[in-house]
Amino acid sequence: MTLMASTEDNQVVPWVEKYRPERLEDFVGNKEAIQKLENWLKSWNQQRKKVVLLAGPAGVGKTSVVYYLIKKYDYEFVEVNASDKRNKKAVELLVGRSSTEGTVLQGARVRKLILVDEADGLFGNEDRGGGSALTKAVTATRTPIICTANDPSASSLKSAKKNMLVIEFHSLKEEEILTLLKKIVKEEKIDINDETLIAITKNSGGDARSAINDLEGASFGTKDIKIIFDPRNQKHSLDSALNNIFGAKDFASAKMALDGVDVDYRELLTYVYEHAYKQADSSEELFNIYQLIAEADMYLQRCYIKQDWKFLKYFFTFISSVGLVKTSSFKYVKYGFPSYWSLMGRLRGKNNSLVGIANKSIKQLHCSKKAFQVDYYPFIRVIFNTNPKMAAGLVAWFQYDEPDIFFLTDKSSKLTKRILEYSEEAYLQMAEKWIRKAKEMDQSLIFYTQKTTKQVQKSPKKPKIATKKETTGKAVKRSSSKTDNKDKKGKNSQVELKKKKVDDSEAEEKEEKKSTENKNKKGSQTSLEAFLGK
Amino acid sequence: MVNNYDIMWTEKYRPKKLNELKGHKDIVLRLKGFVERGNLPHLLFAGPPGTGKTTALLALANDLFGPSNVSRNLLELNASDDRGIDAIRNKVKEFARTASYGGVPFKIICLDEADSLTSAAQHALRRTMERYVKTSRFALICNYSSKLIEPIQSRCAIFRFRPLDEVSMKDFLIKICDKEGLIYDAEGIETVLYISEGDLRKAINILQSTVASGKSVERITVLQTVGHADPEKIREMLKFALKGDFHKARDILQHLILEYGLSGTDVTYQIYREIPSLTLPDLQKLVLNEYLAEVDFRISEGASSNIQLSAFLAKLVKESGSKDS
Repeated sequence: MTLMASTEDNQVVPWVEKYRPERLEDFVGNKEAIQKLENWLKSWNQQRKKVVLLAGPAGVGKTSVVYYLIKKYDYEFVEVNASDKRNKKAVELLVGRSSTEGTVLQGARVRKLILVDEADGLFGNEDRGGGSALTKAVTATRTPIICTANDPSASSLKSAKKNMLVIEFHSLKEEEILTLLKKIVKEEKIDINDETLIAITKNSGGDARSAINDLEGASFGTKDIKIIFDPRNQKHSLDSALNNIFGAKDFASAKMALDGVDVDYRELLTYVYEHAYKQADSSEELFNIYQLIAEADMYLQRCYIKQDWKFLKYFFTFISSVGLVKTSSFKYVKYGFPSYWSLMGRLRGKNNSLVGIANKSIKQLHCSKKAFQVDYYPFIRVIFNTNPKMAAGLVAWFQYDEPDIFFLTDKSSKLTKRILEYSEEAYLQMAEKWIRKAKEMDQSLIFYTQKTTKQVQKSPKKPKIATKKETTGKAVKRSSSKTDNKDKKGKNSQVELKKKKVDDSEAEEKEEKKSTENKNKKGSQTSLEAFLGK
Repeated sequence: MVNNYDIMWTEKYRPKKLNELKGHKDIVLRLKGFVERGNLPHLLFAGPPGTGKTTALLALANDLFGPSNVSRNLLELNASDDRGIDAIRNKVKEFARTASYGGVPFKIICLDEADSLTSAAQHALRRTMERYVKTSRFALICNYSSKLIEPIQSRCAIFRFRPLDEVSMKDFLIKICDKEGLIYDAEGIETVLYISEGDLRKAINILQSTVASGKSVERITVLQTVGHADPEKIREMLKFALKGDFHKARDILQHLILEYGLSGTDVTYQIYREIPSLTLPDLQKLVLNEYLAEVDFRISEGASSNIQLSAFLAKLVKESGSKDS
């Protein structure tokens, strides 16, 4: 929660703060949008959409206009921005509570306004759930909420956007920025020539904030225009690098394409790989392009593997020449996020479920997880999607749980339900089978079970036959460990005690055994009886 | 119906005793000799997947120790387990330290997929094999014995498992069909055999998933079922590339790698098997193979599989020439 910073004339404040617009005349562009926002706020009580989304590139005055309005109409305001933690709880706490509750000073004339700055950043690990909390707040708010975003199509805003009034801000025109700069030059009484001002303006790309920052930098130290022009932000420089690469006309311009571009090599490669095919008109071009990309990849990986960066020059040569191996003209495209990465993100949870299923299955199948994925998983999926009864057998055998089944049926709740219904019976059948098998293996067991069966049948409290899948599963385990127990006891109990835990299942078995031994014999045998009695 | 609820048929019909093993007559004979004598050398089973290596070992252990003692005398470690040098040493040490159960004086430690062991781990294993030879025997199972270092090979009796002959496989499948009371025809069985290429595990899985869909085993139903199974995505991917749709093809590729967890080498292998059946002139297939080999090599050197294989897809688009027409 930050209170608005005072922008009184103060030498210590950077110029971007110092010259933050205070009156409507101070804004150099986007007047229409500002007017629209002001009208919305003035008649907020009558507005159908209680939340506004200011969408537009950086440095065009989105946040400034909010500050201006707050001051003008005397709002108390709560700000949430990228520097705060914006996970679900935090958003709920700030936006949710203050938007649905009245103001702190109940009944006073103080009005509240909430500003969610950089709302498009409401996703990722840090901000998990922030987006949905925002959506909730948007529909229930009792206070005006203003969100700002660079990318209004961001996924976190998707559902919230339906209830928002979207006001678009555009990049400032060059003459607008130049006017602004000249005004500051006049105020600050600095010595700077027009050429530099124009260069700064052009470099800003319609971003007033960056222009003012550049001007401030230029006015203090060097007047060398080149030095001022460090690329301003990653996304910009990545975009321009891609444009340069795909648009290169000759070897010299190709080599220049990456000069002064400060991007991660892998990131650059992945972006080129993602978007290059859109530049190809013929299959010949397509192949030439991807052959080069593949070679660039090869040399980049060599750098990493051998930790020898002398190969990097080849990476640069190949990646920057991608535009040269085609004859068709350069096409402008939007460079979206690489699909390989987004798929990777989306599948993170999915892969986990597959690994979990593999872990449960490999003991029974005597194979590795990888072999399971390749040799068994495709077929098991067919079974789960076509034959619930057979699938239920596998559920009992592998001890899959509900999420596993849901995953294997390609997220069909209907199939999952049917398989679960069948699996109760499957568990019982499997238990019977195991007991039969144990009987064959050790004659003494028959004796034992017969005895206990009688015992429990006499007891008036007949244990409920386990109906829930989980309990049945446990019971199966217990009964099997019992058989083992008997078996071993018949042989040599001394050796048995010394025995080391060999693997997980045996360790588990041992634990089970301990608990059974400690418990009342009668009680522990009830589930076994349940199966036999059936 | 005796049993309504099934388990995987590969396990249900996995031979439990050496006597039940089909094929590999010579190998079975020698293994039986070991059982009779009650003694074993270290073993190395090499051969393609689904030929019965693991089954032979489990059957051997079963015959040797008796069914009730197998689980206590046999330690199975496969590629999913942590098999670094220390992990092997510790696990083996702990397992081999205690006496075996039953009359046999040693235990068996089975390292499945041994060709995935790093050479450092293999060198460490060499010492371990010697040290614990009194109390334990090692059984290494791998696809390619050449991937094991010489000193290990020389310490083992090597058994080479060839792909199962068609007759044994056919007998086995028909036995399953009869026991399960399935409706099948000869052509259906032939199709299963053809697709599984000597891999009995695959054959049984195809059979079970075909039956799962409630169908009889015929040529068309088998093909339909296999179409369901995911490795067939490879075929779909190649089809898109041949049609000139690079974007869709690459999309499938990314799903294969990320969703199904196939490695680059897995994908190249599957593509390699599909190339002969593409509708392209032979010369172009050769060109494709050439490029595929390069891609395979690069991936083995550490290049990114998605990027390298995309280049192959682009090559395929080019060779088919469909984008231009």
